[in-house]
Amino acid sequence: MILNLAFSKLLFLQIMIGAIAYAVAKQSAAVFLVVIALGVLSRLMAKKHDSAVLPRWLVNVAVALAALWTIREKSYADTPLIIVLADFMLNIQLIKLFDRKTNRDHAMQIVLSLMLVTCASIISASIFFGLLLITYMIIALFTVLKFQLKSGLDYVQRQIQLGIPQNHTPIPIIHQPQPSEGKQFNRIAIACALGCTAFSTIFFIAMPRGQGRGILGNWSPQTIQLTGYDSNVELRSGNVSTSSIPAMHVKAKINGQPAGSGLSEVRLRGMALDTYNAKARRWDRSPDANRSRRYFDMRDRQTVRFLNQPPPGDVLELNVSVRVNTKGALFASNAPLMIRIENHKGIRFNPLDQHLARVRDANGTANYTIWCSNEPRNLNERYFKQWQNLFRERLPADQRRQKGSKTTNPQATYDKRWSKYARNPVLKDPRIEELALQIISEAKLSRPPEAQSHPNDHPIAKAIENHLQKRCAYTLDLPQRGRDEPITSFLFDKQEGHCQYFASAMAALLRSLHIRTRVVTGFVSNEYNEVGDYYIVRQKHAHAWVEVWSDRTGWKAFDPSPPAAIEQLHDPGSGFFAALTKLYDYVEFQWLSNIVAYDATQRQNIFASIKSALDAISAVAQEYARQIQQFLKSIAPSWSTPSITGTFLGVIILVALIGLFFVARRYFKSHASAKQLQLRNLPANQRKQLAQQLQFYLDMLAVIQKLGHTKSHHQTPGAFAEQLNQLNPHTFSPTIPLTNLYYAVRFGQKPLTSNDQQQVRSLLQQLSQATQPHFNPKHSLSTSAV
Amino acid sequence: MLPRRRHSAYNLAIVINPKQKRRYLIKLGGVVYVAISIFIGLAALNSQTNLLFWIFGLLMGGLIVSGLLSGAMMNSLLIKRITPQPAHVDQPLTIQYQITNKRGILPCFGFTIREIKPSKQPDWAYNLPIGYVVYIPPKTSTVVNAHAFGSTRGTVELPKLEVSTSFPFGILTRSAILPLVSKITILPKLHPLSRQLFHDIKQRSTNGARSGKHAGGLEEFYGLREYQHGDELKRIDWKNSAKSGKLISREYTKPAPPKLHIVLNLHGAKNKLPHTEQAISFTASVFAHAAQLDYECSLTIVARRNTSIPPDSGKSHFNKLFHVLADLNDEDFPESDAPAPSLHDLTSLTPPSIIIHATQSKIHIGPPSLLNLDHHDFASYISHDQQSITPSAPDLTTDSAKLPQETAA
Repeated sequence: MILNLAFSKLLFLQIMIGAIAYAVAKQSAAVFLVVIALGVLSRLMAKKHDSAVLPRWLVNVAVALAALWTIREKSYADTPLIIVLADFMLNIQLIKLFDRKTNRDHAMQIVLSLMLVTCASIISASIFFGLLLITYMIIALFTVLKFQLKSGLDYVQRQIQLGIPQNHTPIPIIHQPQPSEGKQFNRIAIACALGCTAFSTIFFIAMPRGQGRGILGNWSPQTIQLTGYDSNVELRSGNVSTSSIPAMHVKAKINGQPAGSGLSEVRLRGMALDTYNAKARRWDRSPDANRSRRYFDMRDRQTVRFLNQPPPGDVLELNVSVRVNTKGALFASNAPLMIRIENHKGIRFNPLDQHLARVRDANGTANYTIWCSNEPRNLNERYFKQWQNLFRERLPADQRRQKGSKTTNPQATYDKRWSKYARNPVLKDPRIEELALQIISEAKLSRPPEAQSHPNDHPIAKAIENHLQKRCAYTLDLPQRGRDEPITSFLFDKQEGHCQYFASAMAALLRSLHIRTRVVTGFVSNEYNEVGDYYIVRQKHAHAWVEVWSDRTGWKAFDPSPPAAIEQLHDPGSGFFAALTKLYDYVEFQWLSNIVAYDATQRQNIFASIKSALDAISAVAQEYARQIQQFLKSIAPSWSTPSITGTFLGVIILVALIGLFFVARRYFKSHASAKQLQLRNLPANQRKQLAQQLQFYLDMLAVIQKLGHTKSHHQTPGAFAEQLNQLNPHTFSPTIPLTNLYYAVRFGQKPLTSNDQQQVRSLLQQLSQATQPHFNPKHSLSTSAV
Repeated sequence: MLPRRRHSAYNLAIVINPKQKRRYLIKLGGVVYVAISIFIGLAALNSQTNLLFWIFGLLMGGLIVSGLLSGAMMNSLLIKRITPQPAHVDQPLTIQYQITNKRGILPCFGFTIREIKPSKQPDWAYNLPIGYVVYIPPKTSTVVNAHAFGSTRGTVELPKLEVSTSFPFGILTRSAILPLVSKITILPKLHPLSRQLFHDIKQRSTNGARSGKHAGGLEEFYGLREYQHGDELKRIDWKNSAKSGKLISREYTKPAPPKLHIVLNLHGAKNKLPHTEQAISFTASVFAHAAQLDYECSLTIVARRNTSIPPDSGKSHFNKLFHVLADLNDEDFPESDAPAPSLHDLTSLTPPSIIIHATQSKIHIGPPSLLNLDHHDFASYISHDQQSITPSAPDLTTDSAKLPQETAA
């Protein structure tokens, strides 16, 4: 009964934590609330722990409805398979809380709960879920152990009842827990947990990674959609998310040395958008940009160089852990030189806008290291040549696809396309050009509109950047704009918006002057985590800015958003809670880096370090062996002719060591006896004396314990002796005089005389003879060979 | 008289050691566990989710730990079957085992212990004895009870027993079969009998109440003896005390207990047939009731060789009677063509009170006043109402049987 009660509570706890973990993984507050409500309701309604709350037919109907709901979700709602499966298992578990519970039902609940947590593990990788998972596993371990004992007991009970003749009363098997049972059970459970953890660590490290992906299809749902960043810019009305959920962790090095907090900010380019669709009010990439990309198959390699020779100047190395769905986009700072990424089938690189993306397995997280140049102006020309070559190579094939195209000269086509790339005005509204001209005239700058590039392009961009920063306000809370064109409305009406509006307006102004300009989306973060020495890039760090072309220096970034507003928005805070947040983020980063993102490289590194450690140990051992060998050789003559003094000294040391051993042993034994006899509060002398004199009582307890009788802490010696004598007076009769003697010595200040000692010996001998079973195992073994 | 054995057990003990043949079985729970592990392993490979790799590793670790721990727990266990006590058919039969955990640190959890019956051995219980022990602390002994219900009378050999555990996870079941040999006697079934039976017996009995041959009662004068400490003052014979100069006490006789002699006629019967078993169990039931009513009972079995047990009372006597009835086997039954027993053969020792016939056909032996019973009559005396004498199986447990150490091999 006690076993049953403990097991019921544990199982309920396991189910609830598993369900809550799933709710956390799914990030569904509704699931969380439903789980809590139904769990509490089932406990309140159940009269007994295993009794049914609802009739069986109603439970069956509920299960059937859950199955129908599952089919509906998969067929019509197109929910990912893993979510459908997990929801079904969760529903069944919640329904079973209200059902009667036999051992078979318990087993089903345990299995369903484990499967549910497995599904949740596929969905989520957050550290909070990880903590819940660890808690769940510990409780599941205790539940399974208790269930094992309970089901064994119930099985035997059932077997006995099956063999009972008709009209005979059943024989109940009652389990009375022994005093040490709980403690020993916990020890065994901890041993099991440690053993399982050790083996699981070995399996975790040793199992190959990257092989077998997708052999059973794509189960995983898409990871959570990033709200801050998107692959295009759509000028919508309404609020913009300021979520603080980390999107990336970035470790930076400059020329191989950790950058620390030396960088003022980390700017990560995602997508460059050169075409504005006025109807959809959206920035996109032009077909030319999409066409001129290079594909790198990553299945047989991990590192890709975008340029054959590294340029002069500083190299910024970024180790990026992307934690959200970026639709395959990879982020780089400035111009990328080289990338190392694993467990991905392929990547695409566009030299025109340096856009990087994963191909085929674009969903999910990614970990990569990217090397970028701190001097992009040195690279623009090379990228530009790459793009030119790609353009020329692919042009004939493209032309064959385009019906009615009469252009046959690739160079002419290229020139025509390049002349139009990111130069055409965004909108036909003349006010935009007027405003642009007004700004440059105020800045005392000019530019011929027909020029492809002009030395004043970057100064003009700077003037427009300053103008927007001064004249327009930054806000995330935008009212509904109706049918108004968002860019013109921003420039001439509201004059407030967020980064996308600023970037779009600046691009529109520059493009009205035929200056080659494109909008860039990505992240800008200045939040440095000192604990883990990395930059945290949160979703609210998503940003948009513009890049302006110049024939001299290539593309250059301009950020028209007001810096103060951006700084305020990105402010990581300070004080105790900020420090606590950083610590939490660091722990989560470690969890993600070492557990969630453990991959083939880390595995290879661990094996390599194990091998090198073993080699080092072996080398050290060999060195020590050699030294010992040399030492023995050097003292060999003295061994052969030992001096009397040396021998004497050696004997004395040996005797002293043996003596020390016995003294220490006696001390520890006396200490343990005093603790067991509860003498620790007495003065040292009295404690020592009593511990020696009352040793006989401990001996008596040890003899009795062999028969399974243990004195509880709450029992007095007298009550214990009385209990034993009620059980078996023949066997335990010596315990009465021994207990009386204990009382006399302990509380009556009676010294233990030699007669008493003799009596104690005799009584103990009598007790051990009475309790010792009269069989000889050795004899039994010899007569019954197995 | 047939040679009858007292079935004290061989009472061996055995230590499970690592060298012993061990078996690992995988049962339904284990199959489910392995199936789940494979599923999670595939899910880990398919999704390359590291948490799933970890869970898969945990499950594999559980499998290994289960095998190692269950094996380690079973080693160094000292198992001893305590002398099995005889039990009647359809009555609870309990076999006790003393399990000693000899290890100093590791406790034992979740052990099942069960008797194993050779395939050739006929069924003697509805289900073989099975017991369960939840916990055995280190360096201690625990007594485990295995319960069953005997279905057929007779003495059976318990050749071996199986100890198994599937702790901690129920994935693998580690078991060991131990050749511990014992014998157990299943005594004949006891029926509740109507009070009418003993009424009839008393009416037909020619033995009246009389004084016994022993002193100690309060009935008639038996003799004189020297005063002993504790004698009542009223028993002192003052006259003789004055004559002899020392205190003399008077002694009185005890009344003789009623006597019951049963003749079990097995002539023409065959072992294990329903009528035969009915007759034997009816005989045992009469003895059980007689024991409750303080009868001195004797038994004559008319078999291949006639067996007579002289009248007596007490636990050991009834124990002997029950064992004689329980151990009747094929060898004891006369050939079908053997001559019918004469009345003189049946009444050679004492005049019978009842003759119980195991034959199918109605037989009457002796004078009409003698109570002859066969299977037609048993039903009329076997009662289920409140007025019946409910037989509680007499406590046949002797002191030697209670204490295992006193019946050590």
